[in-house]
Amino acid sequence: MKKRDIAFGLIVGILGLVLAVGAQTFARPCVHADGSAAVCATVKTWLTVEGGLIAVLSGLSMIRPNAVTQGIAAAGGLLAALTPGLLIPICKSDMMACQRVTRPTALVIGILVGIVSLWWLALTLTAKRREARS
Amino acid sequence: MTPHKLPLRNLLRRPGRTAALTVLVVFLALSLFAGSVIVMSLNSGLGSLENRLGADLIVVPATARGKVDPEKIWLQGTTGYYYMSASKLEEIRGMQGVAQASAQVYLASLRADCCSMPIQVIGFDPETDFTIRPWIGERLKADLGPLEVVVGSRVSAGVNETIRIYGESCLVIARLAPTGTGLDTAVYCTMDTMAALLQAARDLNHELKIDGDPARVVSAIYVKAVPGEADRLETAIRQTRNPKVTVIRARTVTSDVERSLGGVAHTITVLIVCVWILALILLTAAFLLLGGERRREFAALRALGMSRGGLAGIALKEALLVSLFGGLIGIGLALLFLLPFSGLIESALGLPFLQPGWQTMLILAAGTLLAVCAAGSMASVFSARRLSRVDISTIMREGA
Repeated sequence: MKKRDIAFGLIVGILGLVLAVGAQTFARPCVHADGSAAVCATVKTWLTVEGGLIAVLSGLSMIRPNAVTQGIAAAGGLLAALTPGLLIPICKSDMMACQRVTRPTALVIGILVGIVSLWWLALTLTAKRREARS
Repeated sequence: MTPHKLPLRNLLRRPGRTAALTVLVVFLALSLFAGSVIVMSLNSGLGSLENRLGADLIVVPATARGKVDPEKIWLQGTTGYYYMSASKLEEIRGMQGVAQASAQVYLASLRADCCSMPIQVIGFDPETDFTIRPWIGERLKADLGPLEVVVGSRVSAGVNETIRIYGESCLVIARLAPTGTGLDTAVYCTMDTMAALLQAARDLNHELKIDGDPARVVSAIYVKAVPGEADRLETAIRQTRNPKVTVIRARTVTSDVERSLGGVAHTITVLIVCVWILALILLTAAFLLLGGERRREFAALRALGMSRGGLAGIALKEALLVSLFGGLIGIGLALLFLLPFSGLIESALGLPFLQPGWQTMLILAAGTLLAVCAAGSMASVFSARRLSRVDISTIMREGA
């Protein structure tokens, strides 16, 4: 394992875990006062799955750097950024927790995962090209 | 390889060292840009609040504060309602020193279908209003009809959509410009629409505590005093009875906000200064330490015929590249957090928060980048000076 892959893997993995855990805790979508599920309830499940997937893929890619898994992790990040609001509807009012916390959290983590994974992917591909040349 | 490419190559050849220096610069840019945007947003929010309150005195029933603090409705978007007889408006209008007076009626929806939580509905009289109309007029030229509403910038119902409030379908005909206050989360309608909504709420057995006709109640009376008469008028209104009222000076609300804002702005400024002092000391130390390590490298370049100015130029260009890269990352990170989390920041601070437009953001970003580049260059000046004066013979002898 290269130091570089460990660093990138850890960053992406931690971001994925924060997303998965956050969707269940500090960034969970809204619940009505009567306990019933709000429009945005399914976002929680999707973000947890996406965050978990990103963490697993980064772990795999850390052990064995692979452009495919890094590419899927980047796509997962972008998917997570688009999940609340675009792919899955959330409450319309800006006053709701899903608008104030869940959506921004997914957006920020998703974009960061996307950027870091794409950077990692570019470095992996460059290293492979260099190896092939030599 | 030309000497021009040398600084970039040096940075790329040592990714660990470059990353460490970049992280320091990222902190500088992040703190300066984010801090400036937050302070500026708070100042814009205060200005916007002053414009929107637009009255000298706001008269509410004496029982209002027991239910919900009116200031929370204006500042934080807390929903609430309280009523007094509309005859109070006529009484106040008849008082000496009143230039203009207009009433508003508040209603908190149960759960409008646009939102999963109550929204504040504010009814106003377009004939006499002088606080909401100028603001609505920016977006809506026509008059509001029956069951037509205008929504604040944070109510995510689009124009021509309908929102159901107490079973009544209301057509959204305009969205207002953001103010950064709680008024952004409200829905605005005429008194006729409000009377219909109050009746609908009563029909659904919602306890509003209104005696008699819902069309004959008001929640707040906005009063503009004749210049110099505000103090006397305030005392006169306070002395009225049936019902007893509370008089809120709009200036007091904005002064309170100004005081809180001053505290927050002061804390942010102190934090920015601390981060800058620490980061500058660390950056200067890092450049000096790295310069010490690189004396042989620079001595070799000098032996190859590079001038002293050329050596100093390499060190300065490296610092400038790191500053530029780190500055861009810092500004990018600040934007990535500030833009989506503005709602959360506003609710956490409990103060009006109106983010500046993109032009101002661009100017702030350019200013931050300039400041960071200047700071990075300054931090590397000592190191560049030392490296440009390397004594080739001594260093080569040390290494032998």
